[in-house]
Amino acid sequence: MDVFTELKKIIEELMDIKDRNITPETLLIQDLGAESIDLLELAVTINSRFKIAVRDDEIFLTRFRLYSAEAKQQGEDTMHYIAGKYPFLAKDRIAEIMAHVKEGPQLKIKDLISYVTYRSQWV
Amino acid sequence: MTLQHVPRRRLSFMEANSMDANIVIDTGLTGFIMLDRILEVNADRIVGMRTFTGASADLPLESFAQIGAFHIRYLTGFSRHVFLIKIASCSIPLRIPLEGEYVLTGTLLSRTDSSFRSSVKAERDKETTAEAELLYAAVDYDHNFQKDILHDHYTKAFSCLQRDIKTA
Repeated sequence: MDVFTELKKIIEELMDIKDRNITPETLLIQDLGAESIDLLELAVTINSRFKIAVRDDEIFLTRFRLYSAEAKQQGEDTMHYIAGKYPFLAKDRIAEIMAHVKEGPQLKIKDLISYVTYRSQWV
Repeated sequence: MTLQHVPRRRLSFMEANSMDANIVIDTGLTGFIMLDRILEVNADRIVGMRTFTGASADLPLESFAQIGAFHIRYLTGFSRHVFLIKIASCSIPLRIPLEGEYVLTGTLLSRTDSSFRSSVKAERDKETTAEAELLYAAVDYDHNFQKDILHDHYTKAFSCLQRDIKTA
């Protein structure tokens, strides 16, 4: 089973949603209505299913806006700075998040896929 | 730590009156502790004991929550505030009250840096009577969860609950 299929199954189980069209582009919070408790449960389930170490603030991009502000404060290139904090995100994905970050949390299923894939390399 | 270092708790008027005696009981613990003893703790599991007397389902569940939370506190070195956020599943007999001494075992199933999933079971005569799967969160101490109160309270309680404890 690939990472996306397994993640989709986990999210459907945890959030008790079956008839939603979940794709890698689905936003966890805006589209699925995930709350903080759902995210915590998702994180521990990802830890056990994929056997990877999970940091909550990393996998859920919790500090994205904070890092963006830090980069500006320190006069550093924002893209480069955030890429250092979230090495599992491709640069075009970082640019995409930066473009939409004012619209609310931008966490997508594909970000979880990237995290799991990246972390799996270090198991 | 010995029990004599911990502040004594006097029986309330009603408790004392009902026993028709003015007795001072030193539980060694302050606050709401639903565990009698912690026997073993390591990275994977925690084992404790609790004697129930006709306990309805809510009391064993509280004991489950407390022993699981002590395990997470142990794992995090009591450096963060730990609390139950979800009962993922629970199987406790509703019609048959728990009676007698039970061994409670909490096992860590999975974790991240801030969230933890544990299973806890109550056994008597090696038979599992009740079990639950619980989800906890650990957060930094702050003005709501004050370190000087909570850290002190839980480390004291943990010390009092473990006597002749096995660690790994």
